[in-house]
Amino acid sequence: MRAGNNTLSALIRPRAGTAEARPWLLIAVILGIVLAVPLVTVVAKVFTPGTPAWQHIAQNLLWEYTVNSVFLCLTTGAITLAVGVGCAWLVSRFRFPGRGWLEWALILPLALPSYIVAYSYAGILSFTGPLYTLIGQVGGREAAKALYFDSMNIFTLAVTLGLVLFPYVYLPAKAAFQLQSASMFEAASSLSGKSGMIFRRVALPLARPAIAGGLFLVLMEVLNDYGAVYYFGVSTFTTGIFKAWFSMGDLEAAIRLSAVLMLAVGLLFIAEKYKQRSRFATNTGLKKTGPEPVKGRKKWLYTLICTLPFLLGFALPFLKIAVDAVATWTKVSGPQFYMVIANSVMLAGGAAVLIVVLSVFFIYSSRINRSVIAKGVNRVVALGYALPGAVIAVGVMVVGAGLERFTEGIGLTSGSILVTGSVAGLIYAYVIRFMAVSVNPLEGNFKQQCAKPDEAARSLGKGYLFTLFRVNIPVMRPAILSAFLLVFLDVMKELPLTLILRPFNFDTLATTAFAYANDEMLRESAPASLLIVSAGIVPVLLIHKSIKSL
Amino acid sequence: MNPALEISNISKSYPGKDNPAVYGANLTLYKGKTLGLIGESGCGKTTLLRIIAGFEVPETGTVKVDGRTVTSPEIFVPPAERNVGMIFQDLALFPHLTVRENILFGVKEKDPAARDRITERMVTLTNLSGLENRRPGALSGGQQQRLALARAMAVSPQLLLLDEPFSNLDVALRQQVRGQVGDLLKAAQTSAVLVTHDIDDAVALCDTVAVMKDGKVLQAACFEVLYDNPSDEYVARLTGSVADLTAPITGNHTPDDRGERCLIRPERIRFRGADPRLRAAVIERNFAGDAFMYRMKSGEAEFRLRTAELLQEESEVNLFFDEKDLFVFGKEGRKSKPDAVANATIPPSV
Repeated sequence: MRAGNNTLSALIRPRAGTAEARPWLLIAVILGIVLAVPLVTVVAKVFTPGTPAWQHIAQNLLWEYTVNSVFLCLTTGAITLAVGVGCAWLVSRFRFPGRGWLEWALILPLALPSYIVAYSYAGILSFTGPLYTLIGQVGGREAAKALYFDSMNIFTLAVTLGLVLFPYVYLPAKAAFQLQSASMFEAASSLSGKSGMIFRRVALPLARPAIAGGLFLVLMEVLNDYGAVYYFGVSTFTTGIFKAWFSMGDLEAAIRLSAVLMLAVGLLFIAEKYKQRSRFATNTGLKKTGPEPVKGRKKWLYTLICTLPFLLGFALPFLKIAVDAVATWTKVSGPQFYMVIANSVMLAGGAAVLIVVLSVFFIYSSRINRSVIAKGVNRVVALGYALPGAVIAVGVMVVGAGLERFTEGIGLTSGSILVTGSVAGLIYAYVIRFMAVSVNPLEGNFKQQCAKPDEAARSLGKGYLFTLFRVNIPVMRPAILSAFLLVFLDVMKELPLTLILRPFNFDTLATTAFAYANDEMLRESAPASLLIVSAGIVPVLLIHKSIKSL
Repeated sequence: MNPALEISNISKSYPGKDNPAVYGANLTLYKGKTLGLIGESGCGKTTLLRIIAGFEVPETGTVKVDGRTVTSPEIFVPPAERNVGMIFQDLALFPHLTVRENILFGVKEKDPAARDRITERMVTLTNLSGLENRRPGALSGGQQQRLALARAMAVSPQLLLLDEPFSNLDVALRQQVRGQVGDLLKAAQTSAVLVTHDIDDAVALCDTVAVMKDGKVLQAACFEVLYDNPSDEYVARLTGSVADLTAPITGNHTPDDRGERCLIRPERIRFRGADPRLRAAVIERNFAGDAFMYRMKSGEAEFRLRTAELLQEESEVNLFFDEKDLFVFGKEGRKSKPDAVANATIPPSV
């Protein structure tokens, strides 16, 4: 018993911290619980009896949701793997015309939310769109009719998602290829001159853990997507959650669907972690691989292979959006549209500030306490990024409803909305969803840059608060700014969570684009889309810069 | 019989660098022998090795492996087709493959039985039996070294290239692995080129040692010749301890226009005999394990001497040595005797 108590106290007691650090830990634990409650609630609700709506979904719709979600995951995953790994291999190993700009241009599709690309391609591939108009002008209307195919199907959707999500695989794969030891490639080429074999037997297996990590993010994005799948009329778990809540009015059914989705995500997460365990200690100490010059026609082939994903994943949809935005700007813009912009900036800015402040707090608390619990809190608060926005929204609604019942019960409020349908609730959900975007990079930066200045300040008798504000935050300013921008972009792009939790009559750029597209006014959705994409390009270029500086 | 390796007039420059990485290198290695390329970092030894392997293309010169031209202004044979095995400084083992898969990586033989025989032969030769299914991460430093050797030798190369293969090992393991590699090379009768900056590696493993500096091969010979008859001051200093007697003999404390240096191996200096060459005072003595390190003064000239002879501090001693043991180097290279002789105690014959 005594031993047990000792173990527990050892867990709680900060190893290197002092009494001064304990209040930080206490507050971090409380905040961690607040952020984890919605997720725990979703899991807990699974064990309650099913409602008639759930019975209906389970019997008639669940199979379709599963098949569609799995098909999308497999097809999009395969496309992102082929495009991402292929481009990463060519860019990191070979020197060919355009390689310099393609290296960063291939990241740009990250700036495009998948639903905006889906709207853009729906417009491009519609019979009245630019592609068939051009075919009609060149070959006649009959030729256009003969070549026309209905693009509103799950396969086109998967290709569209693949084109916009491949940078999630491209980025880690490129980093992995570039970090591989040059002498290992030389050893392989001195033993076997075939570059295909070197790729298959050496480079690819060694980069596999990094590629698996990127693929995991792609699958998360596919499962999280609502705007594109809804527009293409494909029923997945996310659309199911919306249907259960908005059409059937059954929160319990939405929770159960969320729980199934969480289970799928959990399995993917475990599989990814398992794969990470098989990471090999590669030779990275000496000379790194540099690109080799390519001669003849091959170099132009490589340029073409790498340019196509950029054109299809970014340039073409961006051009379509820009042209439509210019054409419809005067029609769409007005006081209401400016209010939408203000809403987006306010929400994204507010959420980003809060998330960055909380991240710094959590990381610093963990640093000064160095206990298992402090580290655990950091892991728990970063979990939300692995979950689809719709699941988090459902969790927040459940917590909100419980809170409202409680406050009404004690006579504090009477039917007023505290969490659900309020900006506060929306920001609460954003914090849960996007905390990882800020916590993970800042934690790495803190470790790298703050250890020595931190110890120096402490050795000079300064307190934790003084050290944090006068030493750590100034040292970390660029990293904090970059974390702010990344979160800002993610919140600007976020759709499913915003659609579920936004206050009545409250629109953001993302919901406006979605609403126009839903009303078959694709061109009118372009101004909102263009603003989201423009805001997104800055953080994407920041990512490229930070990778280059490694 | 063709030499295993012939290098003629190899030169290589890198863009943005003032001096060539390798300049006019000529070397020959006979079959079954080991050639050492030695010199400090940046002297061009690794570049020369990479030219032999086919990873770099020289501006001039030819490389022949077993009589076949593999590099010339007209011919370039890719690395995989040179029949040359290479062991890298970081070993470059494939961490995701087992010992067996690493060994068989370059083997073109498809027959499973033949592949098994090759694996068996290599693991026996390199003493890796029983470890065939382990990955490199599960091997000790010495075992990894032997695996790199087994992988390179599995393709039966006509020439083995070793690029500082022991530099990542600690001192104790280094000596052990060096001995094992030497035994393996002898057992397999493989011709090899070893790049190292450690003279002990070259002494232990090489039949011929080429000393490189600033991209040039200063001297290539067996170690005894380099030690007893160095063609350059750098070679003399690199191959063993020397006492610098320039100041006492010539009176020049710093090299003058003639740039003369007078060096001698300490063991060639005696402290008893007839006709002393120098008389010097012992200023300071420091214990250095197997010898003593002395600071001495002859006239106004100071010099250092490392010797096992026990001399008393503040005493005066006579130094005896043969004229033929003195290495005199001028700007044009090795000379028979110095132009200037300042110290009166030096007999006119010097």
